[in-house]
Amino acid sequence: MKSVNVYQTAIMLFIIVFANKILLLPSLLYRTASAESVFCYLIAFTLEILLLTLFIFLKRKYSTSFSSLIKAKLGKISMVVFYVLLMIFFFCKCVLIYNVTYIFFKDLIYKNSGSFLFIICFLPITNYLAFSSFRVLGRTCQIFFPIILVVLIFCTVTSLVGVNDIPLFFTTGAGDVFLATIKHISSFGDFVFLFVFMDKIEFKAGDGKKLYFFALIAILFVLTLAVAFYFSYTYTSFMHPYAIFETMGKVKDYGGLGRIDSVAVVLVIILTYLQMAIYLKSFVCCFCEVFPKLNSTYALISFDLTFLAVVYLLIRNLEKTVLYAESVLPYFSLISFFLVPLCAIIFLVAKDKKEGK
Amino acid sequence: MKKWFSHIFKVPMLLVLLFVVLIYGFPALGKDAEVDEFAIVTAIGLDRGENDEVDLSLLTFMPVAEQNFKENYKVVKASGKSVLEAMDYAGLYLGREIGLNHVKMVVINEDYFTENASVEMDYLVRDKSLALSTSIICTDAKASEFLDAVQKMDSSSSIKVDDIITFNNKYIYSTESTFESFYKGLYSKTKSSLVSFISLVDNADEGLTADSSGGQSQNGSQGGQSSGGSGQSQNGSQGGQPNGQSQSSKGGQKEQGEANKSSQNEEQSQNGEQSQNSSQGGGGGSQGGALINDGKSILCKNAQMVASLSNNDMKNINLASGAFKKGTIIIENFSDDVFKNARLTFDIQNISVRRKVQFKNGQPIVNLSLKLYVKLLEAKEEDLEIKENIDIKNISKKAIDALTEKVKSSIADGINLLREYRCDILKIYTLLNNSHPFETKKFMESLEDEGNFLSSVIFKVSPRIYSV
Amino acid sequence: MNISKKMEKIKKELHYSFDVTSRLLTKNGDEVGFIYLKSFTDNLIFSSAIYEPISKCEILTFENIKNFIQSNDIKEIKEGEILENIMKGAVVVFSSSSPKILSIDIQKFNARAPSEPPTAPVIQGPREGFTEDIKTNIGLLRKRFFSPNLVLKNLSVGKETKTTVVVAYLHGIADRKVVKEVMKKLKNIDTDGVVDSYYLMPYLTSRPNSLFKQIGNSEKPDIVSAKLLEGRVAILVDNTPMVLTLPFVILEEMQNTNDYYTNYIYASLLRFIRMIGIFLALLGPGVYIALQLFHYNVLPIKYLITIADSTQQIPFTPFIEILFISLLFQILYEVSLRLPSYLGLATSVVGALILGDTGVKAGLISPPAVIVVAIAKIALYTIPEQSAQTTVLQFIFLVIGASVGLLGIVGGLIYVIAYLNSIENFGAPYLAPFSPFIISDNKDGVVRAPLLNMKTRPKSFHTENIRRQK
Repeated sequence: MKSVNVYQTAIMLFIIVFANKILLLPSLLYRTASAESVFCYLIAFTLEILLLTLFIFLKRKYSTSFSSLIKAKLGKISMVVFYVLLMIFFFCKCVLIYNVTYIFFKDLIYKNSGSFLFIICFLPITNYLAFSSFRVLGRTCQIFFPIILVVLIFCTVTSLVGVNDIPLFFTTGAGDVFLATIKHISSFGDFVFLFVFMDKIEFKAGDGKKLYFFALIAILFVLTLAVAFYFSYTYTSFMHPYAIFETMGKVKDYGGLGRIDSVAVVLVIILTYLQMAIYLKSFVCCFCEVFPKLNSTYALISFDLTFLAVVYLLIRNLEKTVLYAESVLPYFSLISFFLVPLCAIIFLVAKDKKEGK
Repeated sequence: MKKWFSHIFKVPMLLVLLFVVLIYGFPALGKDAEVDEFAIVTAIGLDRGENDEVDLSLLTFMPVAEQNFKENYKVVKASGKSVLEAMDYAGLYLGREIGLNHVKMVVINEDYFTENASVEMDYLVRDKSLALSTSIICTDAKASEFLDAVQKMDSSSSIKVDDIITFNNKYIYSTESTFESFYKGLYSKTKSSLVSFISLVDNADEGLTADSSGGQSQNGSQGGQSSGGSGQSQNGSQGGQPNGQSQSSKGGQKEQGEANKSSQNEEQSQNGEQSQNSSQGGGGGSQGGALINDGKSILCKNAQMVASLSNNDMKNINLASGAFKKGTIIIENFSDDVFKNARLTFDIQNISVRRKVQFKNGQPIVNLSLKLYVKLLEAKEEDLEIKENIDIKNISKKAIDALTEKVKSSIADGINLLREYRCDILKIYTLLNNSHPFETKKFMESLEDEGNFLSSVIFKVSPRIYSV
Repeated sequence: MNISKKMEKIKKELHYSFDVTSRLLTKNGDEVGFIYLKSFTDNLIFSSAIYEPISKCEILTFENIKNFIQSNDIKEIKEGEILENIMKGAVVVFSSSSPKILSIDIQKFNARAPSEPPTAPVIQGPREGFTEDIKTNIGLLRKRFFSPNLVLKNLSVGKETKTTVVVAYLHGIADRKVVKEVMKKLKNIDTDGVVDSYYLMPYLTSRPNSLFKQIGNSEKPDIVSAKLLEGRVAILVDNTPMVLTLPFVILEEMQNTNDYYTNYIYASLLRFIRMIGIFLALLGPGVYIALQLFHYNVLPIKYLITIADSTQQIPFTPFIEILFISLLFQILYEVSLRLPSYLGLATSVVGALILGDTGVKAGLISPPAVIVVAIAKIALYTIPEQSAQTTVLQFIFLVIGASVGLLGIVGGLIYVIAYLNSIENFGAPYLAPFSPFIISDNKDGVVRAPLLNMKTRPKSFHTENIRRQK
């Protein structure tokens, strides 16, 4: 598989930061953590940055893939178990993102359309991107990056324009903040995809800064949008499920521009396609590690079938999606915030000991 | 053929495209535009019908086959046991689905505000196609008649009601009256919110007659209270809250005696003398009623109306909140070296309010530091002698003092009004809690009635007037 | 075999075509035979420079004949090359005193003079264009490079046409591997004929069946020279003014000759407008139909009123209406291309005024649809070289927009971009320098930096000398 350069990796990192964090999450967090929800973001993002730091350290020391590292140090069975868990994690993230976007569009711009329309749009495109080389995916993200950036700046500035309120702070304690973070931890932990593509990323000394820079900018955008959201809606934040869309929608005086909130719709569409493609590519990669004799076609077919079954049979509405995100997914998220970092630390320490000898 | 098939399978995306064309493309050839499937509603009216039914009125855009792109609206009425049912009936009548995406205004009859109005708003808030930034307007007339007036206004002139409301909200009275603001208030500590109030009068001419005197003259004519004292006098009505009264501005303390009269008179005028109000404000109208948009609002607590606020009250409240963006302040019977017994009208160019909180002996003190940038634009004297511009522009210290007193008393009026109705429209609780969370908690615990906490908060107003 | 029989055999091989002419000169028992195509050779030169001097020769030995011929284009050929030389306009000379055969190139045909090509008119800058004559074209290139580093390598392609193909590159700048690969690919072409340079394209690209153009082409020697200076390879084909250049990246289509002969700020603005134009052309009708069929609610009420009022009387559904107008515009375009200019004007009047205006007045089509399609069709020609691809994509996006709305359009766009990202010809990523993003190449990307700032050659493909200027 052809490799990607560090800029393309950083852009993918940038894109994945927004996964599910600017649409449904702000409103869900408010239900538990009120105006202190911003701290949930801060906690989770700190963990994400730690994960990124571990990745950078690991990448500096090893040039092989993460799977071969696990295989070498912990055995083949551990690797298979590990990658099966990762596969499930990426699958769940894909389903979550798809569902949130589906519900968002169904509510707003596709009122009379059936759910198959969404499947026929999302699955073939994301399958194509996942089937193509990692380089094609990276380059496609790179092409869309300027558009995403410009629209994001526009959305952020617009959402800040109408802020004229201050939410009521200090109504929830640290316990609530932690509870909300854990409840919605499945919306984070996206940086774990870097470990899956570890050997396919061209990395030189000093490239870590680029990854940090892009990740921090993305985090800054998410935080600004979240702050704008909480400051705009204060007590009624829980009534607004679609944060980025609604923060733009609150600006009533559009002038001659018309419905500028539709810009946010386009942004969500682009982001969803690319985020799903990254997750799916990660899934395919994990699948090929677990089943080395099967190629990516089998991975995609198995993904598509399971995806259709889950989407059609298990979760079809907002309530179920939220339930699923709050109850099932956090357990799978342990892999990104516990197992992967643990492995990474073991590998780093083990290497250090070896070097010390 | 075989080659063709094998080529297609080599390019699966071509297959997907063919599939999409077959499943969706061909049906799309016969699909009508969504504008023909949905009735585009721009305003909703809610009235209480017979047997506790909902009388729903929808101001609907009706496309007309002509090239001059006329905005043709029609008011469609339907009744039902719930808003949704009424909506369904309206859809049946129109033969289209009801599209609420372009609703800019929901007019609710004041009957609904005698009880918990949020019950009737439930569907409208849950429906995601209706933006929560949609304006809510309370009216004393039937909402359907109100929409009739809006329809005539929208179709016959370039003046749009929602433009007027937006302008009013943005620049004049700063009464944000949307679903959003309503629910924000409802979920706040004192569960209070403001809703714009627009009257409808039968006589169209009355609505079109604009009298710039506004609320200021209303006070003057009612109680004969001309200067800043009129507002401050309301302190008297707060007999039970000595703290607020004693700590308010100096100007207020001077004229406490006239308190009861003024506030009572004002309430009478709000409730009983509608026609008097109707002579104020703009708003266009034609046959069948005219809209009177004079900046009035209703004060709701628990989604229920507790008071009707005049535009003057709103000005007073907004002076304290700093939301007063544009407008005038009038000083009556003013005399100095330049003017004799004159009525001076100052135009507010800009206003900024800094709110600081401190706790003294467990009691919160809110310092309101105002900076007002004013311009004297109109002076009326008995002898009608025209002053040179230069004289008018140089506002004397006496005038500034008078203006300061006027501002102080106005703010005191506003605050006292909120104290009276126990409504924290100024979001004082958020201010206290965010700046001193522990003291605020203690303070609230020390109160017998938390809902009445405003009465125990001391306000210190220090306005600084700058002549521009 | 005597000369008469040899010439008879050649005539037979040429199927006794009427223009195959043979002459026999006999002197002192020695024979000299001439055979040529009278339609393709210069008769005057033949008689004055070949026939007359040889006839004055006393002893017709091979060396004498060779010395008496007054021409520089004289060469000895083998027997197997006789037909090819005759077909290329040479006079083939046989002598009874020697088995050697001479070929004298006196080809004559009416080549047009270099003029401004209609496909690339310029406001400022050279107006020369390539012609159908490869020699003229080589001359036009040569006069721009007085350096010995301009290398021209020729070969003949096509079993029947034997078309002369010349590969041109700058030694020390162009990547040798690319030159080698091009030569290899050209040599491996197994076809009966190459009528135009376009015929070579599928043999040179990695994805021959793709909709997208993967090799650059130009009719202007200044453009080809600039591309050679960038390290590209040019392929000149006889009988066509279109010269191919490669490696090709899509950015080249956004660059216009005028950009380099005008102020760089203005050029940058124009490039930005071109980008907007291409997006309008691609997505305009698709987005319009998607909004009408799926997302009326994202339209502001004022636009909605205009659209709703204007489409009320239309008997067609929105998709049929816009398909109809699109087809109408395309037909008008095709007609105006093929008709003589004076008739083309008439069709424009009929198309624009009668069909458009009357169609709207008759209530058959709506003004917004006409405007949207007209803008999209005009915008197609902001980059005329890509108009074929853009037209196809425009129709595809129109169908997608009508079928699945905005979601499909964005998805389609992502697919197209991903597909283009997967194309790589001669080591050049198709979407470079946008992805992968190459800062130095972007100096001549969406914006055009001043010429003084363009110090390096493009980095999107390999060159042997990256530096252009200090």
